Amino acid sequence: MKWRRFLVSRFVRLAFVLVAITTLTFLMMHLAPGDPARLVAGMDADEQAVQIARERLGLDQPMYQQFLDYVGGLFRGDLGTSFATNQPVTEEIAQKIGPTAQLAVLGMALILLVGLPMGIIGAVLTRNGHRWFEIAFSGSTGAMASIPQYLIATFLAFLFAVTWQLLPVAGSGSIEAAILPAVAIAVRPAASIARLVRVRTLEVLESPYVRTARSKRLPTRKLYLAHVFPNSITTMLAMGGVTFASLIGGAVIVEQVFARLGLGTTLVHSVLVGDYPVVQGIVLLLGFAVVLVNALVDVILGIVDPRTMEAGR
Amino acid sequence: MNADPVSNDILLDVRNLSISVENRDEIPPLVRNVSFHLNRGEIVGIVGESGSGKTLTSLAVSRLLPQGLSMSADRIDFDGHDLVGGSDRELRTVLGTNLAMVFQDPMQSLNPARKIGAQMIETVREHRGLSKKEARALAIRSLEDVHITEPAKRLKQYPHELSGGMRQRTMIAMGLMGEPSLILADEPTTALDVTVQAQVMQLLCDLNDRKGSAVLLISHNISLLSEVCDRIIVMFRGEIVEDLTTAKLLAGPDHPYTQGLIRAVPDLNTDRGVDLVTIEDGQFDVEREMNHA
Ligand SMILES: Nc1ncnc2c1ncn2[C@@H]1O[C@H](COP(=O)(O)OP(=O)(O)OP(=O)(O)O)[C@@H](O)[C@H]1O
Ligand SMILES: [Mg+2]
Repeated sequence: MKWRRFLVSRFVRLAFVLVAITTLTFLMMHLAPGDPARLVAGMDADEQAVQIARERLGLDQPMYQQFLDYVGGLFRGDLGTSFATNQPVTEEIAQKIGPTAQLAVLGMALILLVGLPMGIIGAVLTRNGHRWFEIAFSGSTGAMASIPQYLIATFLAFLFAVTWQLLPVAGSGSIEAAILPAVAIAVRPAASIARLVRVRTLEVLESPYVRTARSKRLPTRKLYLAHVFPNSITTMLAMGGVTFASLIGGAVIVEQVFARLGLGTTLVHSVLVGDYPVVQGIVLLLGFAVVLVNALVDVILGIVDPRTMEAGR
Repeated sequence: MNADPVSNDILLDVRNLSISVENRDEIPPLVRNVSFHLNRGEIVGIVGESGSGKTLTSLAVSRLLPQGLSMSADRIDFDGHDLVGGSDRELRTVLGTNLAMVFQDPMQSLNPARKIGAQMIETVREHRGLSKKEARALAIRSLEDVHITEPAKRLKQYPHELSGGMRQRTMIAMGLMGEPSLILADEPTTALDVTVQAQVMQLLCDLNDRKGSAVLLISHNISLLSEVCDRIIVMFRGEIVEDLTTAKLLAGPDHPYTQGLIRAVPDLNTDRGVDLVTIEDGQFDVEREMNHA
């Protein structure tokens, strides 16, 4: 019963956000300065050629009509046709999504496998009174959390690919080529997560319920897994949506640095040449991905900590 | 003070317990040379103003002092186990089962992310090797013992689904799982409203009656303690200033501080028209009165 209400409320919220994203990407493209028809027809085409292009693209229709056509297309899985290549946008995306998805998955895995344990170990060491450790931890993670991703990317590329030549500097074929970019996008969010998890875990370790658990004299492993961990990861989960969004943002930039042929490079290129349908399609896809991940996080959070189900309604 | 150390009626024997802040020699000990004992099945109260060291004393006995504090004692003997010299490893089972802790804040003392059932059964699963099924059956009986309705359903609920009074009774039921010989209750009713307070106190007395568990009951409220305790220990600024039977207390305590505590508590006999005595420096100068005494 409670679950049904929770899921329905999340579904309504999800639908609402998706509609908003769709509308915004449409408006963004149509209110942006510049005339797509002229771009398509070519800079030196005459007025008549531009007019023909405009009619072919449906840009002579009233705005609401264009919007309805666009939404109708979405339901048929049709994101329009690229101005630049004349290919369907879905086709363009399908060709470029691989490297980006690889980067996102690797990056997320790195964030979880490094950020979370670092935060928890950090809390335990802090509590055991290693003062030097606390200073080193806060200093290093603080620095890492504030360096822009393109700087980290450039630095990593220079060190590992150019100076030591351990890993490929560019490309999107092999898994080795994905390591540096994945590290580059993961460092910052992993550092923020480690900081958050440390503070939260310290709180949990001092809480009355952990004192109760200590009074039961359970094995240390059980104390941490059953009593501390579930309460300290809620913070990290709650951050999961934001982290994923920043990961996607980071991927777009970092793909440039490592010359990976993914959605990010395609997006930037399409903006530069004014290939609006492609821009629209990619923005919509990334937006949907972020929103869906957020919804998924909410559901997982509801399972781990049932109180959030009631609070977040 | 008047303990007979060879009597095997003694369940808990504490001698010269001191607690101080680690690496801070300039801070005087928070608890100084505290000695007291508890007999089997006895209900003993510890009373004293805020900050007098009641909680720290009970945490030291249960070896749960917070980080940064250290204790020393000539002897803390619980049910034949040496709590000063013994290692955590040796004492795990004893402290995990024979000693039950009930804390002040029932809203915060149960793990919010875990079901009641999981929290209740883990002690006996760990220390007694009970199967899940046996442990659940025991948990249901234990919840019945503290008069919680629909116990089977409660096991599947989370703490936030229960009221404050129910959570405190659940805490007590959780402690009962290990068949404790001592229940250490630190202000178990302070966070509850008045009618529920009475129920929880009544429950502790009942359990003491039925199961023979001794209770060490900590409170600010000397009149509440005098209703249920056999004996009352009075603490003031980290020391025990008086240890007397309730009968003697009611007849009139010797110590001026204890007299002050009694006057400070409103009860049915208090004349509401007269201002309550407050124990604050200046208004009630204990040290001066102590020197007079
Ligand atoms: N972790 C700690 N570090 C330093 N001082 C502490 C710590 N815990 C408690 N104290 C101090 O020790 C003294 C005794 O505290 P304790 O909690 O035992 O008092 P109490 O009698 O239980 O008071 P209350 O009735 O308010 O619960 C207080 O002055 C308190 O400030
Ligand atoms: Mg206290």
